[in-house]
Amino acid sequence: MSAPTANTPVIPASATDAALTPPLRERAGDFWFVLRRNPTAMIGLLMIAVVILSAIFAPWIAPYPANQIDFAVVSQPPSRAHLFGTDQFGQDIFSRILFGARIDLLIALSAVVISLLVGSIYGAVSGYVGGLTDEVAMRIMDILQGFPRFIFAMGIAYALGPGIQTVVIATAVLNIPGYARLMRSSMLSAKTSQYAMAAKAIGANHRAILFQHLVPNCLIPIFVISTMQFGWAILEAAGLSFIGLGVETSRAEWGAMIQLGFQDFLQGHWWMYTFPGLAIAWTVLGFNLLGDGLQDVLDPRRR
Amino acid sequence: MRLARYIIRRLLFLIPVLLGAIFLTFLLTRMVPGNPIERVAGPYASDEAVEEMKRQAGLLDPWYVQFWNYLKDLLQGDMGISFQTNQAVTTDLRDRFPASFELVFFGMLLAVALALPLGIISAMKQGTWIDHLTRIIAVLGVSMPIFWIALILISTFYNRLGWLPGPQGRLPIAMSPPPEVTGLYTVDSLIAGDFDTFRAATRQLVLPVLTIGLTAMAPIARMTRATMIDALNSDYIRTARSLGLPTRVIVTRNALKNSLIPVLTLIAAVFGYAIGGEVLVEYIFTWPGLGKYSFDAIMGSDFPAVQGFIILAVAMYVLAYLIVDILIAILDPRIEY
Repeated sequence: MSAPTANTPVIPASATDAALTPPLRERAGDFWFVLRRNPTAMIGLLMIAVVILSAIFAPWIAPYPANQIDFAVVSQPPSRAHLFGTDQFGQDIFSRILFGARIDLLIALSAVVISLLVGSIYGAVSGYVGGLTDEVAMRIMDILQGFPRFIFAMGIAYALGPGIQTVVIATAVLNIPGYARLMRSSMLSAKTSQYAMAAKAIGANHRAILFQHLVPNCLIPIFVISTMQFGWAILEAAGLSFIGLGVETSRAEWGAMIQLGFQDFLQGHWWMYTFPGLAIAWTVLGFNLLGDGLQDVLDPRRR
Repeated sequence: MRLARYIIRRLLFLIPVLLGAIFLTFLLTRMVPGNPIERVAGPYASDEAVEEMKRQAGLLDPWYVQFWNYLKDLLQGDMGISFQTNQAVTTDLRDRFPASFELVFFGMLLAVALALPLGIISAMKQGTWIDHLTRIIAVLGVSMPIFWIALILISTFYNRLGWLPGPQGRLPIAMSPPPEVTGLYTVDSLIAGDFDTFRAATRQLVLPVLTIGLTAMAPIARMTRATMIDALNSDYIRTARSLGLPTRVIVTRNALKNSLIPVLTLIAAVFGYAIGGEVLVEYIFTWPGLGKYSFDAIMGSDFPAVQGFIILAVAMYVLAYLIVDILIAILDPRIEY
C-alpha cells in the first residue's frame, strides 16, 4: 500500500456516500413531517393501529379463547355475553375477530415481504442490466399479469393444498409484477441520474452503486406500494379462505369465518358473516387510506 | 393503411404473451396433486388398467411432448374432454360464456354509468361534499371483499326485505330458459316476446350485477376524477376558457375527450379482472357461468377444463386491452403507430 501523496487526497468511503445521497434518516424525517399533516394518511394509520393493537393484545382483551367450542350457546345473536354473537359451534365471534387479526396481518405481512424481496430484486436487476434480458424479463411479468388473478391464486392454492403457507405463497406470487415494474422503472431513472454517474466516476463498482445509491432511492415509492399491497393481500387471502382453498375454517381467520357464516346463510344468521367482513373492510380501508395519503405526500401536484 | 399495420403488429405481439400463458397454465395444472386418471378410473381399477389409461391419455409422455400435443390440439380448437361433464371443454365454455358475459356486461355498464358522472362532477366541484362523497365511495369500493358485499346484498334484499329472488342462478327453478339466440336470457326472452321470463331473468340479475357494479365502479370513478382534474388544469383548457367558451362545451368537447383515454384502459383492465374475479360472485349466486365452471373444475382436478378456462380468460383479457389500444390510437392523434 502506497502512502497518499499530497496531490491525491484520500476520501473515506463513508464521506463520499454522504456527499452523494442525502442520509435516509433525514429524508424519512421530512417525509414524516409532511405525512403528519395529511388527514387521510393519519386516519388510515390510526385504523391500522387499532388492528395491530388488537392482534397483539387479543389474549387479554378477548372475552373468550379463539377456539372455545360451546354447544350450549350455538348460533346466538349478538348479546351482552357475546358482543358479535356466536357461530354454529358456539365460538364467540368477537373474540375470533380479535384473534383473527393475528392470522390475517401475518399472512399479509409475509406475502408482502416475499413479493417485495423477489419482485424488487427481479426488477432492479432487470432494469440495471437492461437490453434483451430486461425485455424478456418484463414480458414474463406481462404474462403473469395477464392471468386472471383470482383463478391463478386458486390454482396455486389448490396445487399446494389448504393452509396458511399456501395463502401466503399464492398472494405473494400475484404481487411480484407490481414490485418488479416499480423497481425497474426507478432503477432506469436512477441509473442515468447524476449521483449514479458521479459514483461511477469515482470508481465505485457495480454492486456498490446498486446497493448504496440506487436502492435507497427507490425505497420510498416501494413503501407506498406496499401499503396498498397489504390491503390487496388481505382481500385475496380472505377470498381464498372463503372458498375453502386457504386457511381452514377451524382457525379464526376472517375469510374462513365468513365461510362458516355462509354455510348457515339461509338461517338468517347475519352476524356470522357481517362482523368478520367489517373487520376485513376496516383493515383494508386503513391501508388504502394510508396509501392514498402517502401518494399525496409523494406527488406534490396532488397536495 | 397505417392503422391496419398497427393492429397487425399488436396482434403479433400477443402471440408470445398467449404462448407464455398457455405454458404457465400447463405447468400449473401438472403441479396439482391427485392424478385425475385415478379419479376417473375409480378405486377398484387395477394398476395395469390405470397405467393403460394414462398411456392413452398421453400422461406418460415427457412433458415437452405433452405440451406440444396440447398446443397442436389447441390450434385446431380442441381443448380436450372435461373429466367432470364428459363433454368437449370448448363446448362447455361456449355454453357457459353467455351467463358470465351477461353478468359482467351489465355489471360494467352499471359501474361506468355511475362512475363517469361521479368522477366528472367531483373533478369540477373539487372540495365540495359531492367530491368527498365520491372519494369515500371510491376507497370503500376497493376495500370491501366482493363476496361479503354479495352476502350483505342477499341478506338485505332477499332474506330481510324479500324484494328480490335468492341466489339460485339465472332463472327461478320452475322456469325454462327462452329459446337460444344470443344466450343472454334478457335479450332472448325479449326476442321471443316472453315478458314473464324477461322479468324473472332481470330480477335474478339485479343482485349479482349490483355486486360487480359496485366494486368495479370504485377504481373507474377515481381514475375519471384524477384525469379530469389534470385535464381541467391544463393549458389548452385555460386557453379555451380565456376564449370565453361555455363550461359545458369545454368539459364535454375538450376535457372529457382527453381524460377518457386512461379511463378506457382502466375499464378494459377492470373488465378483464371481472372475468376472473367473478368466481366468487358466481359461487355465491350459483350462477352457471365460467367462474362457477372453473371453480368446480379446480375442486375436481379437471385439468382440461381448468386449462381451457384460463386460456380463454387470458385471451379475453388481452383482447380487451387490444380493443382499447386500437380505440386510443384512433381517438388520440398524438399516438404514433
